[in-house]
Amino acid sequence: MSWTVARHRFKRDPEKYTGVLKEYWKKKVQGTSMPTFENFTPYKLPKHERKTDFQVGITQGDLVYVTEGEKKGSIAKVYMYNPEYNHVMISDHTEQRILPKSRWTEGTTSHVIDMPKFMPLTSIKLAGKDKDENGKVSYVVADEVILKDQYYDDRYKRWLPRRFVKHHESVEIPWPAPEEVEDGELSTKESAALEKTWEFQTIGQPPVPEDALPELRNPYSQYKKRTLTALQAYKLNYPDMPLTKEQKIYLAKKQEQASAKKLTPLSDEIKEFIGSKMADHINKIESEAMLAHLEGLSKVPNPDFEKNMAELQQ
Amino acid sequence: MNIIRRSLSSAAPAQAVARKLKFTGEIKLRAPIVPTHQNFDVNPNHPLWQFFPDKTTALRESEQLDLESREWTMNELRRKSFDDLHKIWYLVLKERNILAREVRLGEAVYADTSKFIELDEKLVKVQKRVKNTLLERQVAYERAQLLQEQQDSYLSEFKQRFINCEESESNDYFDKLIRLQYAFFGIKPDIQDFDIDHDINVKFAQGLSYIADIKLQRYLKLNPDLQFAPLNGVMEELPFLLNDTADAIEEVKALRESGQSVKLQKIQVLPFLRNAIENVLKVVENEQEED
Repeated sequence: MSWTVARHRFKRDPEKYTGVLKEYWKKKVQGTSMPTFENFTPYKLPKHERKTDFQVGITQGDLVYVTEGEKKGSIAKVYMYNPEYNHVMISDHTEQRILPKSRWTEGTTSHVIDMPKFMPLTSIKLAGKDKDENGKVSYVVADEVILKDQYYDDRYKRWLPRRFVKHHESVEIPWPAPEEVEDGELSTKESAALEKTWEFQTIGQPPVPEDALPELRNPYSQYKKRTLTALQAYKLNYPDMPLTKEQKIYLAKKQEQASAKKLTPLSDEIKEFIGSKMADHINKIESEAMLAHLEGLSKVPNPDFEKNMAELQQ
Repeated sequence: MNIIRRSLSSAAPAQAVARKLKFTGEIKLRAPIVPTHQNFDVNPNHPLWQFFPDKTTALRESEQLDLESREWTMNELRRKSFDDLHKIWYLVLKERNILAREVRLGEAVYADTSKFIELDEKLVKVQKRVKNTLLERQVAYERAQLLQEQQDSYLSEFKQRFINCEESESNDYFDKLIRLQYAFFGIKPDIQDFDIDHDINVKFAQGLSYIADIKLQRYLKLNPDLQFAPLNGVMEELPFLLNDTADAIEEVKALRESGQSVKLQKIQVLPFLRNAIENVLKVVENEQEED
């Protein structure tokens, strides 16, 4: 378990709250701050409902037509799509917030600051830019878009759906060019990443060295143990039936009789039978090494055998 | 008790000034040494420097982190050899060690460590994918071992095709056999690549007898007049792996005439093969040195 996972395990996760508990938690968080400083953020979408920008149909660099608010009717550029809130951040669209002095950062000079405003998808519409022969710019605003087919986009290095205006499917609004990303400190060169250094060529040799296997599969896993602990065995078995006094006396007597069992010597017939079986088996063995091994084995003293023989002679 | 009484007494300071210490005249007092890291010389090659991003920074700013780079994908990792994956694993581990150190330090000085943890999560993902890639390969290998029936039927079918192929296809089929012996039995095409301890195992012995049999059958098919008894154990099969079929047959004949050809016990097979191949490798090495 990594140190980041360990931390998450014991942490409160308000995102998992539902219903009344969610409302309660929101009030509790807001409760201490004054209404002026109230920091309203919309509810986060549950994880299974979140979509990526390409699934929604709006991505960074797109143009949108604003249908609500002060700047209604203007065209703006999308800075980012936020899948957690299903909102977009667009250019020239800020809201004024009051910031207590305790939260001022370096360079802040006023309590009132401009914060980028997150717009819900209901208050914008996707726009496509078009230039005619004379260089006159016009926009096509799509009430709704539909995503169809797939093509490999070399700019994004991935497969993307094509985007059309709903009910006017001859009008395609292409995806914008992505922002150029510079190679970071940790990035690998493309040639090195795509170089092929392995191919499955043999089933005669294992692909992973034997010593590396315990790193991949936990040999000490509790699910691989073939033995039960005392507690597990106790839980799986029903308890012993309590016995009456008479039963206990009876069982004790029986055990006494069983322990007094006597050994009797084997009859000649049985001895001969066992001997012939062993001789048959040994005659079949061809390997000299095996015979030498058996010879050596027969000379190893067996304390149990000697003990039984001594008991028989008595 | 005496000490307390002395220190509480109002006359104590006066007494202390009056009574001079004995050694004040003899010892020269010097300026105190300030405890600072600049008074220590640290070896620039000290291995613990590997826990630092560079030798001048203890805690990076969040902006200095490379948050743009993405993780290695499974598809990219699947193309990489075990050695490459091993290298990637340790590069990632080193980076994670640096981040973990910075996070511990950051927590101590109440710095924001969320970006460090964000980066670490990406690196954890790479490590998980490396493990997953290797496990995929191992599982595929293990499942292939269970398909014994399919393997046997393919081998017997290939044997028929090999023996009955046309004269013109012969070279193609010998190339195919070399690929097949590596694919099924792990016998590498070049003897110099053999790893004596690992490569020579039960599979190798099985492959050897398959190859020897298939080559001999082909030779007998082309030369129906030749009288040749079936091969007797690995001692007679090995020449077919190392030499041409015609040479191998001559070699086996000579071996039989000298009376040294013995069928080995199971327990003797692998030591014999290891010994024999080691000798062949030594001969090849000597020849190369002479050239």
